[in-house]
Amino acid sequence: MAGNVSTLGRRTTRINHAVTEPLWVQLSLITVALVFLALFLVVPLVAVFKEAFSKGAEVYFASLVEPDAWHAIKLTLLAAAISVPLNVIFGVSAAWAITKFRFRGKQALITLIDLPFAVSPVVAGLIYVLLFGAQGWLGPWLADNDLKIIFAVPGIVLATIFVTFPFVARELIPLMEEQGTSYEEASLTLGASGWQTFWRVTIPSIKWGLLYGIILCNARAMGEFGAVSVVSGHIRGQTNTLPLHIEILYNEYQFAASFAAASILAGLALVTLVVKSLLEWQHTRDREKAARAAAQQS
Amino acid sequence: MLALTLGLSVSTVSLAQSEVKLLNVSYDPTRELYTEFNKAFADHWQKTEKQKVTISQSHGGSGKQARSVIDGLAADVVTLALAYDIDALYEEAKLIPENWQSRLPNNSAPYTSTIVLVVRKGNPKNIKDWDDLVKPGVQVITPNPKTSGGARWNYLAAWAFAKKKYGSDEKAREFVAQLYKNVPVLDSGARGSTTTFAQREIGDVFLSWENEAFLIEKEFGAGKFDIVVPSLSILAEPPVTVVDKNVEKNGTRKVAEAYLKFLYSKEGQEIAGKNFYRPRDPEVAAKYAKVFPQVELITIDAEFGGWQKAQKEHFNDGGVFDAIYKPGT
Amino acid sequence: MSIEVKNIEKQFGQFKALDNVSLSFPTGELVALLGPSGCGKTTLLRIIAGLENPDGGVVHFHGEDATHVHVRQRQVGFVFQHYALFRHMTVFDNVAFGLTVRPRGKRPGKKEIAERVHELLRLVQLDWLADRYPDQLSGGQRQRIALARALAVEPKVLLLDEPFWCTRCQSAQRSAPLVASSSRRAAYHFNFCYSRPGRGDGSCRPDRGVEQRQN
Repeated sequence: MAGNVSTLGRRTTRINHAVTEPLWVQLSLITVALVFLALFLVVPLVAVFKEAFSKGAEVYFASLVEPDAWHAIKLTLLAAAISVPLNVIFGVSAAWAITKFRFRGKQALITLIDLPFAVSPVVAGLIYVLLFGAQGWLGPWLADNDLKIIFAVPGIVLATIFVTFPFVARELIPLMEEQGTSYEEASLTLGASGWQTFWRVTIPSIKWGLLYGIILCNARAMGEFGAVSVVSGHIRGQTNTLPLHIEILYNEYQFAASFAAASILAGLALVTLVVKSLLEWQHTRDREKAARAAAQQS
Repeated sequence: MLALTLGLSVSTVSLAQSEVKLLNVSYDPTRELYTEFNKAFADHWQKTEKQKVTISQSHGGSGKQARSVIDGLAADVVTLALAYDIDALYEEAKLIPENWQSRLPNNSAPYTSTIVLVVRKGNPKNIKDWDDLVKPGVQVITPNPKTSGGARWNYLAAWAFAKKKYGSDEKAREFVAQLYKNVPVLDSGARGSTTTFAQREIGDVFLSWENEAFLIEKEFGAGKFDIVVPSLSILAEPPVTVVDKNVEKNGTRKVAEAYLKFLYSKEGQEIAGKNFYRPRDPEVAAKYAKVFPQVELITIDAEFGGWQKAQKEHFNDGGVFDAIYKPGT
Repeated sequence: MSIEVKNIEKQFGQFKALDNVSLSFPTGELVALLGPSGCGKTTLLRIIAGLENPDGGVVHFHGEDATHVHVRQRQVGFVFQHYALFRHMTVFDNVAFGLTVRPRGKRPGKKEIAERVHELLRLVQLDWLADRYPDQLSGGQRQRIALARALAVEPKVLLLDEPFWCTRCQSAQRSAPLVASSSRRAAYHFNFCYSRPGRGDGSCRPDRGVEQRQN
């Protein structure tokens, strides 16, 4: 039942030795996988941290508390802090609408949700320039009302929301589709209100998929470069997010500082991965415990 | 999730009357210059006007930065690589008057630069002048003139040299075509080319802004590169202007104009010189004469009839550059 | 409580599930709906419960029109075919759910809820499983918990959707007499179960069988 929640709740399969490949095939496959992993993940990651500390820990920390860097970190976290909750609201509503109701245009909605995955982030950024730029559709009206969208924090947040919005919905739709509506119906027949049903029945039953979607969404929100770069305007200390700040430092030959900032992003990514693994681990453990108990029973 | 746990606010601090903000939208290689200049100007303004001024910087490719200002980036002043990019602010959005360039002295360019040749330590390929770049076996690093402002200066400098030496536009065209055959990679921007040459160690000679060349020495350590000044080069005039529409709206005309005027002051010129831009002020220039060797400098206006014309003839689609540069030949 | 359905119509796309169905169930009667698969038994139950709106026709509870009464207010106990036990709750919490979601004024105290839940669990003979999760139960046990959960809110009507589909589970058969006895014991006026033809095990003998035909 939880098997469809992407990689959550995988069952550990027991290897059947009678039909497995010869040892050398196994070994070479494992080697290939490990070499790739080392070359494309571990080595760059180590390089980031090595370069970050190349001028010593003092330079490392100095470059992080430097006002522009600190502001970039805060802006990145702010963009994530706004876009992730919005994403959760949108994702849950969209998944709810798609899986629990019958309506026209459902297929179109599913396709539209995937749009940000299909569109290049740069194009996404340009769409906002086209809409809100001084020469854009809403530009003159915004200027008259003294509202700033692009080249300001709202633009960055908008671009981040755009590129991240499929994550939660994509994670929930298959899960909720599979669960169907009977839990909610049962709750209603027992006298619960829609609100109670949502919080006490729906949310707990999708929480793993939801958490997983939030993690992915958060990772993307903090790491987004292309779309944000287009709408940022690159004003230091104002509209530079962490990824943009990294590029600027690199272009200024401040390699140690640039990699120090990069190490923060890498660190956030690692934390994300650890959280994700912990969740998966706990989830499988719960399932296995349940299965074991059931086995003892029968 | 981390973000959620940290209660954050990036709200802009409400400004007291005694504080003013400026946004200077500039191009890539001026980062160090304006970091220093902004501090000096803030002090100057505090002293003379008793007002706090906070100057924000935005840097990027010159053409891209102009585009952002057209699209609404609220620059009070722009300090870009070439007049052509600032012209666009008038052409596309009427943000500035057509005669913007005559509003400040020296074509609104408070400092100049030129194109020099950067070679590896000891000059192993014995490169002395533009001629040496077309020799077989010499690898030249320069960015793509279609996308990079600096690369257009490089291209036009080479063209001017050949025209003067060999006497005709046809010969110049052949010369430049030959030169680009020696270019192994065309990066899209000036900083990209710098990294290609200095960090990835590709190529024998790197066509660079003079200020950038000095900066490379500073950043990558003196003694790794030599700077060769050619017999003739081009006078690069990175111009500056107040963006009228934006300063009217922000109420910052006075401080924005003072900011640009300060670039022409002794102190401003001094900072330009220190950051390897050639000062306009004769007195300050004399002081930095040792740093900047004498070189015959031609101007875009005299040699190519201005940026609009040069752009159209050489760099627009279907222009000369498209005709002579065929990758892989 | 008596139930009367009149001229019920329900269509899903091109498929006509119910065509002018009229039935009447007097108070206290145990009725089985019989009929081949796909003939609309579940749909009729869902309409009575308020989980579906009929395209036409009316549902009367005790003589009053309940067609547009919300499922929450109908006081109908519904045991789903696959039980729909909340997987993230223990057996105890599942049975207690209906009591804990009551509005503050009508909600019994914690102790009272616990007593009531254990009483119901004893009734279905599964009190010892109170701390288990639904995943840890056998099919028949789940069914009996679902029954206990539905009874907890003291419904006026009890609807069981295919209660004996799992004939291989011995435990399911054990729950059959429970339906009858518990319903009578708890003084429900009316019970309503239904089953496929030939699957009745004898111990849950309906007072009456109604056969639905595919149209």
